[in-house]
Amino acid sequence: MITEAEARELLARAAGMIEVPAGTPTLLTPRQRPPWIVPLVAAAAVAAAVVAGLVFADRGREPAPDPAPSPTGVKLPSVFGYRADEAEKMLTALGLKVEVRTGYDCADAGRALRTNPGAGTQAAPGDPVTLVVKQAPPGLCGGDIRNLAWAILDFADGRGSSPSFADEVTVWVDGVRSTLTRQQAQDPATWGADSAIGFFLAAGRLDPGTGFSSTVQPQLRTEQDDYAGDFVCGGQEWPEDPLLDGRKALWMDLAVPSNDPLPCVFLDVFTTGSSTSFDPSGQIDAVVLRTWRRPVAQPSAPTATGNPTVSGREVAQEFLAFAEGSAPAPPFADQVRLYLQNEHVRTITAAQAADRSSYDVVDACFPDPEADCPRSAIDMLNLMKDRTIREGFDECLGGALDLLDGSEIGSDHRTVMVRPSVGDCERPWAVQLIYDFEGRIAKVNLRIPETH
Amino acid sequence: MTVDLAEYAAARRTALYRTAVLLGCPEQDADDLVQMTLTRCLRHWGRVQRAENPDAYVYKVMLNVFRDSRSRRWHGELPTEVIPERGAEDPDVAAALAVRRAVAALSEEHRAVLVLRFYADLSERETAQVLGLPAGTVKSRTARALAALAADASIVRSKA
Repeated sequence: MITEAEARELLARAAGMIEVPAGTPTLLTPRQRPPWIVPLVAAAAVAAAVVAGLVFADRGREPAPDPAPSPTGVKLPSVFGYRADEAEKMLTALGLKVEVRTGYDCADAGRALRTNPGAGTQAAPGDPVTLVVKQAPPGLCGGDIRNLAWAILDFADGRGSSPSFADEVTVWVDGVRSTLTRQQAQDPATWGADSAIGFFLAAGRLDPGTGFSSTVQPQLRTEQDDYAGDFVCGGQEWPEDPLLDGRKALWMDLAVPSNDPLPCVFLDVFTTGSSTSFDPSGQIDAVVLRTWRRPVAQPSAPTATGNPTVSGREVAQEFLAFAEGSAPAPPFADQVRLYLQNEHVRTITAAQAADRSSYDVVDACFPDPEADCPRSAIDMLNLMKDRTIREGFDECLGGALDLLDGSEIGSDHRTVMVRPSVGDCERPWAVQLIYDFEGRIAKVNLRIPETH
Repeated sequence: MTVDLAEYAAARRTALYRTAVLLGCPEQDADDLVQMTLTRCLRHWGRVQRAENPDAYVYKVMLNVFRDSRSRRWHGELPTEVIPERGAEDPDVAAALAVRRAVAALSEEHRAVLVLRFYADLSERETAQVLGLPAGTVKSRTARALAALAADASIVRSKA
């Protein structure tokens, strides 16, 4: 027989040889200030931006990257929601020396989990960064509800095809009910940063560089089962909706690395097919988002007074086609203000705006004036074929380029940007369009690296 | 007394990591398990702080997260296989390895009760709370676990 004292000694001996890796992301080094003050402020900023109807979050208007070699380098972006290969590409493009660490796990197969150092950390080109990814052991995982969870997030992020939706989709966002047609639900533009799914993504990318990363825990139950009323997210009761009664959801629980107010973000997805269990092959007919954001009111933030009749994606697509010369001019406001690097350059009329040669705002390019030199937003869009339309919070640009925000957008306008696809963060650029609720473009901002 | 999570994590991380491994979490996943545990606890940090023994609360969360993730996990890799063979010539290291193998070879129930009682240093009552068992069950299970460990011939006891 082993005595209790002996057991203690044996276990202590065994534990003593378990090497704990140094400086791993789980280590929260003691600081003067609790580290979650940082994400909380960022969370409040995004919440405010969302409340304000802005569709991207400004990151405190950080200065644009210094054109000279800078010791500060880049801010590590969050890899939340990205596949492992996408995340690796994104980090490599920032000039970082990426080391991929793989663990076998069905749970997050093929997904980037986090980086070390964590998102938000300053890094210089050539710095090593460990990317922790999960890899599925071949043939052993099968269909997992997590695949559906990630597919839903990929879709809302504009990186994947639409999951299967029912004819009518009921959406609850913090107690506000709306319904979507299948067609609306299948459009990723519907799921921007102020929507149920887009908010979830944006919140997941609020990594502060304190070592924590957001994680998702999809499970097959409703949060009611788990917390039995003990834990109420953001003061939001579970919606009283007969449609949801007694059904199991794909419950995606986002663990946001922030402390107080409790930053819960719960996304429950219901599918048709079974009234008592969850059918991953069913059609999505209800989505419920509950968040902590509602108590975070920012009285100074402008408040949207209506809803656009067109999506930012549509506005951007029309402008892109116009820039390429494949479509007539999109609708413009009577006056269109042209910006370079967030600075107003001049104002043109709607008639002038319909002429693609009216947009020049760049006088000369350095160091090589003969190189591909975008003189205007139109030039930029024609030069850059690898691009994507972004309505939501943008990690790649968020850390590298600031854009027009707040008062420049105004409460009766919205903004959308065209920027490089993932992997092109090292030479960030953006064409930002600000449009009114009828989709008329009022401002065009060309944002290019200072070194361009 | 209030303890903020940063202080707690800095102070307890090593213990949490080692507990995770002793409970059977593969070393390459232990970091993630600790992180997930802490992010979970952070959600309820006020409640963790108010708990009689915050460690017990944290271990309970860890055990739940571990079980939850493992229920979906690939079972091709047994904990015993990840124990490194390095330094087998050193008698102290060899002895420690033997204990780890022996602990890993125990049933999950026995392993959990031993690790929580004698490594995490929880009382019988706290262990019962963490495992969701009556205190009496913890007592009898502890005795059986100690017997099972003693039956492992590879363990070198210091007083032997």
